[in-house]
Amino acid sequence: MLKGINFLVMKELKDYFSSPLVYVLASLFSGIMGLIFYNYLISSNEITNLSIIDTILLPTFGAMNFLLMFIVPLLTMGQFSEEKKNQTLDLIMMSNLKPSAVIVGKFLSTFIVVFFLVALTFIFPIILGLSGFSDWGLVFTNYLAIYLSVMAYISVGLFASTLTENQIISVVVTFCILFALLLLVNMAQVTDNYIVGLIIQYFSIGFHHAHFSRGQLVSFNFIYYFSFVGFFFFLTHKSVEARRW
Amino acid sequence: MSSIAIELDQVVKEYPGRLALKGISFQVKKGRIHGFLGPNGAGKSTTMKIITGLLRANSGNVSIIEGERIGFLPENPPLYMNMKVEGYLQYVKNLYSLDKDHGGDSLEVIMKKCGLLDVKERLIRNLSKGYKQRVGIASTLVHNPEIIILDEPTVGLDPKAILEIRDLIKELSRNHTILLSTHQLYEANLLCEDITIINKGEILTTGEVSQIREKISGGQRLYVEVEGARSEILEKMVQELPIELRDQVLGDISSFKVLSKEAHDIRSRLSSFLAKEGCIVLSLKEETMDLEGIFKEVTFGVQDAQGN
Repeated sequence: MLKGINFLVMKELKDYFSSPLVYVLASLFSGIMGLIFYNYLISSNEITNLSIIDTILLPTFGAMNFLLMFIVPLLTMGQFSEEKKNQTLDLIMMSNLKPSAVIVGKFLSTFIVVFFLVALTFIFPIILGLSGFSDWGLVFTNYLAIYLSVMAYISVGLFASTLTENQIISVVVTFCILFALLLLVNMAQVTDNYIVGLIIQYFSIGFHHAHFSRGQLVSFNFIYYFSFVGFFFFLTHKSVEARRW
Repeated sequence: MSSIAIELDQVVKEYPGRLALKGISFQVKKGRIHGFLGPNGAGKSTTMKIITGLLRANSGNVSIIEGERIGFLPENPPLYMNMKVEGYLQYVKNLYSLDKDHGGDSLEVIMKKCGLLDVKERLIRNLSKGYKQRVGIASTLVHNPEIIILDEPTVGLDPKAILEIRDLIKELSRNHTILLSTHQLYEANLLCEDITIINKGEILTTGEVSQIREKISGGQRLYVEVEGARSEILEKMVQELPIELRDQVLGDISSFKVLSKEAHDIRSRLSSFLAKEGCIVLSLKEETMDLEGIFKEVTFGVQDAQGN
């Protein structure tokens, strides 16, 4: 199993880095993030720890999270849909690899790619550090939240790409699911029923993300993210298995 | 060599709202080229996918000879367009040998067999369809399978490529059991020792080509040209002799095909009958049946029932 996952991860990484998509997305991502960070930095006229957090760091991370919601589906869109279209999924399914190993392999390789994508922004806190910023715990929890959210986005993206042979449909379905989850926060705010509001809120990624961005590590948030990823793993697995019927 | 490599027993496959396979049974003998014939949409690909385990049957049994691996080439070869030929074959080999090495020919030998040595450094996306097909066939060989299943391997290729692929399949049949689907009867006739004919999810006939030929043609098939035949005479002939008539063209010179229902030679009885009725037999030619004939014969009843 591990050997198989390792084999697939290496193959997928090779695929990722030999296609132009990753480079286009990386330049787009780092370009936009750099611009956003620069703008926040310039517009913040008072440099204190508090003002850096409120006017630079949090808005930058918010923008990053939002941007990744677009970029991750673009990375995952072809993962299963292309393999289905080229029939290469059958090739893999005929080997001894289990569908779960295939899903984990694709998940990990995409995560590694996004890890390096996000790592391009590690320079932002370093720049802030040069001007005396020192709240590294907050930086850590924010990055943790970004990576956990990325895991959630990848799991949704992989699921959507098993549904179709068309990459565009796959990416649109991913957007739909992710934005629906994003909008749950707003929905929770307008409902009169407190309990229903609370439940809806707990389903939303944004609600759980918020704790991290304020520097809190709360156990139920971890549980939320891991069960979220697990749930979409399950759906993806079912969807891949359904091909046999 | 008479042992069974693949055996299907009453396999049923139902897609939502459509019964694709209505309980099919046949055997593929070890070491043979088995042709799987049928019109498009007959259920050939479905059957092949069930044998390879890519699809599950709703009921029925598929048994594959103990421990044998299967190399499967679907209708569209499963290729990664941005890989090079050698890299792709290496990838497939690694993919299938994660647990253990299955031995067999080295990639170099396989590429040589399939005529790929010249293109091994080229990207698959830039190859012609014929070469892509060869890469597909090569990829079924890398894990040294006993059984090779090819789904319409020559469809859409140019005549030269078709010839080359056919030679390759013949070459492979020395060491492998091959199940080959096609809707080209001519091709099956050239390549296969055994055939199974499928139509609308039902097996129409299965067995050795020569046996099927015998069974179906029954006695003889004659092509007859006569002068002065009238339809009454022909009707009378059908009543008096154990024959069926096909493809009648009546005129000054009439022609028709005669299918004898009995095994013995009917030519003398036929010509003396016609002479008695005052017709002049211009030609009397015996036809041996090729697969085309067999196919027409076995699908004839089916099409009749549907009123085509």
